[in-house]
Amino acid sequence: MKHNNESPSELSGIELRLSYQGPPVIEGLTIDLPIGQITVIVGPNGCGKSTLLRAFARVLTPDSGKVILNGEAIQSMPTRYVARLLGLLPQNQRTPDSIVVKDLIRRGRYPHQRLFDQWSKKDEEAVNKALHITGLENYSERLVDELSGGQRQRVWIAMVLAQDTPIMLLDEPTTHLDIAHQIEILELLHRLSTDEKRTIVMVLHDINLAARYAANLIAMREGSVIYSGRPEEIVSPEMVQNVFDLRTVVISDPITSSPLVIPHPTREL
Amino acid sequence: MAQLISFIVPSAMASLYVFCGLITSTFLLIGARRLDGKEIIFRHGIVSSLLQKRILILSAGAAIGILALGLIGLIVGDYPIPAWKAITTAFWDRNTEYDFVINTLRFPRITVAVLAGICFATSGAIFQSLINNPLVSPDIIGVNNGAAVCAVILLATGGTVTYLPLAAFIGAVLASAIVYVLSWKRGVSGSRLVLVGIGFNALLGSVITFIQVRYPIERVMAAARWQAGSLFGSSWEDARTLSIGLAILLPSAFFLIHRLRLLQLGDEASVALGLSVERDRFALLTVGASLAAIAVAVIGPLGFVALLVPQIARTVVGTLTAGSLLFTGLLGGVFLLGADIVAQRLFAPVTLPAGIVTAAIGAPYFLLILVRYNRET
Repeated sequence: MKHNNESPSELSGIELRLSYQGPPVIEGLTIDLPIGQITVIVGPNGCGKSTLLRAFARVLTPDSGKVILNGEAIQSMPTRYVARLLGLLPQNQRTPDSIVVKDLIRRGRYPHQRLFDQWSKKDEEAVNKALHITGLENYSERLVDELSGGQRQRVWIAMVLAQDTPIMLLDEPTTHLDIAHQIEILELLHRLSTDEKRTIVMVLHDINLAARYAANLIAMREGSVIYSGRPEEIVSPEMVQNVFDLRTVVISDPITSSPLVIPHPTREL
Repeated sequence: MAQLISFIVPSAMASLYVFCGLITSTFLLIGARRLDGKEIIFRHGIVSSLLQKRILILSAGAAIGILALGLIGLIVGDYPIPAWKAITTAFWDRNTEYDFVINTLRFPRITVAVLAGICFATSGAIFQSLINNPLVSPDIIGVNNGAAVCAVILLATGGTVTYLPLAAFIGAVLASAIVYVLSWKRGVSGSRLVLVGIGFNALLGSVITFIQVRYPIERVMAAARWQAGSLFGSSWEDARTLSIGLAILLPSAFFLIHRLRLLQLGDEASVALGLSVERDRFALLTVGASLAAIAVAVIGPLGFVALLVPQIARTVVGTLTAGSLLFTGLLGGVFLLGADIVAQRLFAPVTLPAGIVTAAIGAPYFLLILVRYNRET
């Protein structure tokens, strides 16, 4: 099944200067994000990866420069129109008290609804599909508060899925999840990218998972993109040294043959 | 002895009715949680919506409750009127001996109680969702105290009572605007609004106290009575003021409810889903504050309706939807009307301000919630 929106042709940032009313976190950054693939942004804490994602989601307005979507500056497009093209899983999620799973997921349909058209067939289908993909069908009547951390994360991802946008931005979708749930979420996103050709851009902390699932890997440091490309091409001990200041050995993942980074202990062996 | 009984009975009976009514409705509300949670999908042409059967039933129940209490309000009093006579006099037959009691005293008062209850409860629901805290109400941003300052100044300086609603409304709007502006720092966050509100409320409270000690006692007493929140002397004029306000504000509230549902998810999610967060938040604060301001202007800063009714509604119907907002409003009407009848009849012929009854019911319940909330977090 294909998502119902026109396919985007371009998502890029031009000469971005991003700050939180202080010194710039990112300055003069120009970047192109490939369409229809998974892009993963990695980098040490505070390098500006979340800030960049927030700018692409227009949550943060650039001081200068602009984010271009389909050839137009995102800030000058009607925000509700953008919301039909581009969805965000925020890092700071706020779950209202005593909300049930399906209610939260339904709220993702807002950009598609009109004043008197609040629950169209399409809305219903999108929500059911989101419940199905995330395996939450049997939980739809449950209170979100009562779910485990992993299930809750899936509910939020389902909310973004219900929004049914060709582009999905996710800020650390695997935080607070155990390794099994991390894999589950990333496999889900991988399916969305291969089966439905969605553009997925996410921030991850784990460079090994990033290297495994990314078609395009972006490594940032101190507000600049210092590496960008296919993981097999860019991940190397020098790269990890330059990005994270960490001594490592890089081998080939025995299952997927993507690069696998193994850190050296900092003490003498 | 007979005299004593006849003195007690009418008031005792009326209070008893209302008391039984309150008990029954509590059980009904508890029972309502077991009601069928079925959803009804309505689709016709370009119009579609998702209705919850439970909320429809409950709203109908609340509307019936308003009618029933309204009838009780028309019948009982120091001057009991037969039910049928009361209805005919109220709606078509103006030429009866009861005309004055019904159409000048009781009917407008009932109408004002219902409309003000709807205003308070809807406003409370908006504020609690917007600030994401079940313990706030519109007074947090200075609506009540702002209105009180202006009203007390007017009464204490011997101004005309005619201007009271206008003065109170201006005070309420001004105070909430000041709190909003003071809370602004690259946008308004809920917690900052609450903190600034608490500070500003304390300031307004001290202004009120100052006026109270500074001016003649008789005038201050009138102001104090107004501050308790009373429906005494409600007129059709008041009902009209409230109706006009509701006619503008309620549709706005229902229009904004979908945005409020997103704002509950946090600012980032709201932007991503296509809201202009600050603009929509401002609109919701304006509608919420105006709803409370108009009710305060007409009947005084009556407490607890805005705080409690949305809470009770939420435990029954769950999270915020257009339907739950409707139910909350109707429940506010039931609550305030019931409280006013109790206030009139409990110690009849001595009547209390309705605000005392809402506080007497509300304060213990509020403590209960506070304790429960404290345990949860």
